[in-house]
Order: sequence, then structure tokens, then C-alpha cells
Amino acid sequence: MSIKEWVTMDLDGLELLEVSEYEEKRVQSFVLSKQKRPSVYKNIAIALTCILGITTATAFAFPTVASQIPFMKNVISYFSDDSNRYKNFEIYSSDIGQVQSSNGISVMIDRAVYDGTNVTVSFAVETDEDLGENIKPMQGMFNILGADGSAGSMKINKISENRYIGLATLTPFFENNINPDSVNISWQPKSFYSLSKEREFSGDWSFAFTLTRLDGNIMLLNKFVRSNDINFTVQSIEFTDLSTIINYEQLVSDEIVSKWGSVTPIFEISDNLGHIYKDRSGGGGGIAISNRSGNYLKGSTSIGAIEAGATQLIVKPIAIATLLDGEEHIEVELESIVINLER
Amino acid sequence: MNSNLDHFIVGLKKQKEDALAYIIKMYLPLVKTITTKILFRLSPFDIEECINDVFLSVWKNAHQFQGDAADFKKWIGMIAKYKAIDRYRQYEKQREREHVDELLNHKTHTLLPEHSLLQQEEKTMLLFALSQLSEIDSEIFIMKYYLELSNSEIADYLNLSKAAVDNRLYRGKKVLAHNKRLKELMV
Repeated sequence: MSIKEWVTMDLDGLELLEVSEYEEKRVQSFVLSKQKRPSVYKNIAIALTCILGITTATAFAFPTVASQIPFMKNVISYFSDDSNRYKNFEIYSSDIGQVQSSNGISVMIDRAVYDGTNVTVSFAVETDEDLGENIKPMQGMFNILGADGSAGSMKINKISENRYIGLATLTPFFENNINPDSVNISWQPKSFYSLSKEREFSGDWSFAFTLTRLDGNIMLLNKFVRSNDINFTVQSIEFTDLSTIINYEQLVSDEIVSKWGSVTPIFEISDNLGHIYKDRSGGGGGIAISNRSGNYLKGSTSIGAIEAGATQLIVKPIAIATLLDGEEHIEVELESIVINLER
Repeated sequence: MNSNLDHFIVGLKKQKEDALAYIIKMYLPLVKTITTKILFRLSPFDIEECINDVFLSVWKNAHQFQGDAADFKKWIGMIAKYKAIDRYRQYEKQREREHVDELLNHKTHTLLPEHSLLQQEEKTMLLFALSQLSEIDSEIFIMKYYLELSNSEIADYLNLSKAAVDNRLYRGKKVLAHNKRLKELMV
């Protein structure tokens, strides 16, 4: 049939298909579920916050030797940077320098940057009382105004008695995938929870600041690799002075989805000079949204700026198929995608 | 029977859940038949998604419906038909895109999937606004602005002359001109 026949279809003369009660219920619960949450993505994004929070935290290792750099400045230098992710953070981020003290705890936002996809914020905390090794802010995610939700992670490390430094990475998700040219960010942690003391230290801190996106160049690719069950496409790469964002799509067969439940990619990313930007350990910013049946996924992953002199970027996707309860998984290694950098 | 249906159409506009259940019972067979016919090449998942989309948008836009029970059947059938055709065309475009790699560097902006996705909300709004026009006009306007067909394609599909289509679009636009939001969408 053609569009012409469809357009002129006689709706009264159709031989109607049968519909089960189950189908009716399914449509009804779909419609009602949407009514209660206006944004489809919000819940997914919140779920992702938890997942990414766990996986990315491992990416930051902390140097044991105390540095001589004055406290509460240059926070980023306290985080190890094996994958080059923060190399240019100091140069391209904005100095925020907001400090607030409440109930003997001072919090300072040091620097922050928005590359068009991810927001990275460094901050520091100083306490009068010893809060122990591990602290975390309660109800303390950074809020990006106007975003439907965001995925991200936060890591706080103790650097000396009563002093902590923190780094938060967020990938906001905006309606219709349109990321704005600037973002307004607010942060109002209600308290800091000390894991070792099992106690909350509450206070009143409130920060707000605006970041303008870094200029970037987008390179369209649509390069794909496929295996029997998986079709993986790198759609585009965006380069900024701070970071490199790889946008991808993944299409997997119904068979593999019905067998495994969830298929998500991890990456090995390197260049022709041998620099490694990402190994399998995960980490770094990223967000992925899949459709309801789980066979289509669209996402992005971020690495640091590409080293000068590199002319090719090599992206090797590895699809991880897992049972939804996480008990078992398989890895499907795809061929590497080689991208020539026009620079 | 029909007075019963009228009652539920009013309920639907007031967002009553029992009215939704009734409307689904009455029209799911029709919507399923239409979408299955048009999307026969796509997966059952796509068809299901399209059906869900039709009922969700009808639920959200019920307040825009004007008419009685007989009109309602035409209305929901038309929404289902055009939503399905639109989805089918997106699917076709996607397939073409997979084959035509070398065109990429030239026609970049049209190849970003976001380009069509981001307008989905607005498109649905347009579809419902246009569905309020008189029967033949609404079909022409939907084909032109929702499906983005050319005037000669529309003429061919409806067995009209191209001049007749041009003329109806011209006159219809004047009628629609008082709706500011709609005007923006059609530019």
C-alpha cells in the first residue's frame, strides 16, 4: 500500500482487528502513567543518577600525599587525572568563588564549567568539628534549572583534618534534547552526613550561578559497526577546549533484549599516538536514554580534550548485556571505529 | 448508544478515567486496525508505541474536539491515520539515511534525528489544531504542514487539481491567521 491509499482509506469500511482486554488495559495504563509524570525522561534520568553515581565514583582516585597548594583553591588538582579528563578544567572553567558558612561548616564553590553537555563543578568544605573520613551532602545534588532531570556523580574526599574537596559532574537532560547556551545552577545541600559518625550535620547553604557553554565544533559522522545482534553508530563528535563528546546510537535485536533485559555500551577510546582516554573501567560523564522495549538506545559519552598531534580517534564499543537483576552478563566486543580528525 | 458515547466524550474532556476506559474499549479496534495497516513493515513494538501515542494525544487534546459521537470516530481515525503515516515516513527516512552515508557532509542539518524528534510535541499540537478544520481542509492542511508533502503530492493523493489545493491552502490560511501560535508553526 502507498501513502495515497492510506490517506484515502475508508475508515468505515475497515475490517476491524480483534483487541484483547489486556491490550485495552495496557493502553489505558500507558496514558494514565504519562499524565502523572509529564516528562518521560525524568524518571529515567533519576534512575540514571543512581547508576552513574555508583559507576563513576570509581574513576576518581585520590593522592595520599598532601599538596602544598592553598586549601580551597585549585581543587581540581587533588583529583587524579589518568584519562586526561580534567587537564583543561583549570584553564577553561569559570572562577565561582562563592563561600557560605553555617553551623561551623564552610562550603565553597571553587570553579565550574559547562561544555554544552556536561557540567563539572569543584568545591571545598571546611568544618570546625571533625566529621570523619567520609561525608556526603544530603538532598545535595546540584540542580540545573529547566532540565527535565540529570545524571551525575559527586565525590568528596578528605584532604586533611576538617578539610574536604569535592567534584561533581552532571549531565542534564533537556526537553527535546536541546541543550541551552547557558545553564543556571543552584545548590542547596540540607546537611552533610558523616558515614563514620552516622550523624547528620545540618546547616543552611545556598548557591546559585550561571555558566555559558564553551564554544565547540561538531563533526557529523554516522559511522557504524555491527555484529549479529548489535548495530552501533557514532553519530557525531563535539570538540571543545575542555572535552570531547561522542554521541551514539545503539540498536540491538529483539532476541538479545528479550534474553538479557538490558544492553548498554562501555568504551575503550584511544588515539593513533597511543593516548588512552577511556578504558573499560567506565567513568566520565555520560547519559543514555533507551526506548521502552530496550532495543534502541541513544546516548553520549565524554572524554577530555584530544591530545595535540593526534589525527585519529579510535572508539571501540563493548556492549554489555545484563540480566536486569544484575546476576549475569555477557560482553559483546564490536570492531573499533576509527575517526579521522579534521584538524 | 450514541448518547452514551456523548456522555463519555464530555467525560474525556474533563479527564475522567472511566471515560478514557470507555473510549479505549470503543476505539482501540479502529486505531489498532489503522496503525497496523500503515505500519505493517515495522515491528509490533512500533505499532504498539503508535497506538499508545494516539490515545495519549487524544486524551491530552480532548478539549479541542468539537462535535458528536459520529464526528469523534472520524476524528480519532484521522489522528491515528496521520500519526501512523508520519511514523512510517520517519522510518523510511531513517532507512534511507542508513544507506546514504556520503551525503552526510552536505546535508548535515536534516540528518540529525533530533531535528525531527524535537518537533514532535509541536507537531502533535499542529495536528490537533488542524483537525478542527472542515473535513477536506483539515486533510489538506495536515498533509501540507504535518506530513510536509508538496502541493502536487496532495493534489495527486486527493484527486484534486494542484490549483484547487493551492487555492484551498490559501483561503484556509486566512481563516487560521487569527491563531497566532498556529501561524508561527506554519511559517
